[in-house]
Amino acid sequence: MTAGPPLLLIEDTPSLQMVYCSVLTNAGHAVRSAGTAAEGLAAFKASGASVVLLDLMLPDRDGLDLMQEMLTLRPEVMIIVITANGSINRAVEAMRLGAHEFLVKPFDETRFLSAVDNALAGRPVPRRSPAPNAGTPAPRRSIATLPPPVVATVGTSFVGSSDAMAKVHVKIRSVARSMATVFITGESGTGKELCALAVHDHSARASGPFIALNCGAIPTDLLESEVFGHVKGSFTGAISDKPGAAEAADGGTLFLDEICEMAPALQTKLLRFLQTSTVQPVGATKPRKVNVRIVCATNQNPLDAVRRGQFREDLYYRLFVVPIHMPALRDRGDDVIEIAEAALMRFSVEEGKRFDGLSPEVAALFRRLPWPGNVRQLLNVIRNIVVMHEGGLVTPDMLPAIVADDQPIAPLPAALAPSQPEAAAEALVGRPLAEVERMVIEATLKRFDGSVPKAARVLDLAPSTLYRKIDGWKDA
Amino acid sequence: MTKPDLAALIGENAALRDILAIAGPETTLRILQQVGIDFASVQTRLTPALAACDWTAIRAETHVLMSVAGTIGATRLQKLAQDTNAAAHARATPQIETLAPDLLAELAYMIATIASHLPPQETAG
Repeated sequence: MTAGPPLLLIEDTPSLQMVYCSVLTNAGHAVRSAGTAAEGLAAFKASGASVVLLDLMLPDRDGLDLMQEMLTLRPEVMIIVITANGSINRAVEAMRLGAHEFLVKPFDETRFLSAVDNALAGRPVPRRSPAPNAGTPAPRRSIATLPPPVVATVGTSFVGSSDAMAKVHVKIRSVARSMATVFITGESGTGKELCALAVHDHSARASGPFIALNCGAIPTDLLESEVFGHVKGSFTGAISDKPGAAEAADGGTLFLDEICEMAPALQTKLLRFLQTSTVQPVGATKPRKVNVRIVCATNQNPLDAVRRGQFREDLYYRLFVVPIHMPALRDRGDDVIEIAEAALMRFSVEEGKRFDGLSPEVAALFRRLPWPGNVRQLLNVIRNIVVMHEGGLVTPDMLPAIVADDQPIAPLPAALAPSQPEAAAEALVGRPLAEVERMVIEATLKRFDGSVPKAARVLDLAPSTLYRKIDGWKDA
Repeated sequence: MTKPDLAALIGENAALRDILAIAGPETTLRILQQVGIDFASVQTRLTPALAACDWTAIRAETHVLMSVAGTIGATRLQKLAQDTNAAAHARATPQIETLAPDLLAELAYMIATIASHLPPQETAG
């Protein structure tokens, strides 16, 4: 039941306006409706509505334009955009511009009311109590308080001023205030979880819990219980009721890392959860309503996972609303130096030592290295230096052997870069594409003495993709 | 007040059924009457738009049509409207020429069906 100002419905088709009003009124909501953008804007200014249902196709003005004006006037307003099937791109665009949720017409009553309830619950609320102890990772707060949105960095835990990261920061800020599902991709060690945390901390639900769950690290038979919980006696070992991560994240954000590793049966349940916003713990007879924003991540190409049949296509489209790609460290220019210097300072303080920065030789080497383990690898290198040495300027002789072994990749040899690519391609005509792909990959691996990370870099693939392809050949 | 025979009108899959069941007969009649009026308005604007391949108008009218038809469970009309909308986005004249007769016939059928399920004074027109 709406206790505050009425919901505002802006829909120009009279019959649909009547249906929506009827559903909302029967559910106990006070509704004010408008049939044009001008009427809607006037009602918005007069009513103080905190939740707006907005049809994107209006007779007198573009719905996205109206939405942006309303968000400028009152950034905290929750806007649910409504569009017809066939205009989903516009709905996705709306989510990127700050809409809270989108509904594709026609939709059923449950989905409609669920979206409204979530929007009402998602209004800025007083700080929440910690979520119940779920046996899953405890609700975590950000490492640092985030600066105002105009600042081009996202917390001190996210170091780097490269163009690649500036784009990531912009995307995080623009998506944070909506309810849109965020799908983070990137190689291992690029900071996908930090990115998820930044999205959470920039959002209206920052005072709620941030629950992270690694779908690839939990045995398949336990994953359902970890995500959705269980009731006492539902299976051997279930000695008490246990809320799952989805329930523990109520009012906050659920971060599902390595989402492509999720078992197919659980993908079905996750899809159901996304559609209904309810969870049904293992052994429970009734579902429970929760208000959770989903952020997920993978180091794979999710579309590849769909093509292989490893990941449900409908779930992919449900989750892949706002993609954020975390760039590899080697593609972030001088960020490698900024991160190394910041880490050197931090680890020096922790270890009670004093270092004076990186020597020009080390800085130059760091810029050239491929860093297949990305930021995680760099931090390990810096930690090693700080632990193993007393201080001073970091010079090449202080680097751990693993860095010395990870030599910069040489330019592509002539054998792999034929001067007449048409002639090379002509020689392959008649062979199946899969065979050509395998030939190229094997030749590249041979060139780099079997080093998958180096071959992957030359082929512009994630190392994990290459490993999977190689594994696939073994099975064939 | 005559109670419309919803089962005959909106079929088995209509999401509207539960809504109307809760809303009560008076609201049901008003909604059905309005659906009839909206369909008739679309018909008035869509017929010349299809004949002239006025892409903007076709897109706008089929957009309304697929939403309303979908909401009341008129799946055949909804599908035809979606296909026509997609054809208009692609500016595919041959497809529009193929789809238009079926779409207009289905729309006319739905208008007549709704009218037949409303009391004479409630009939849209």
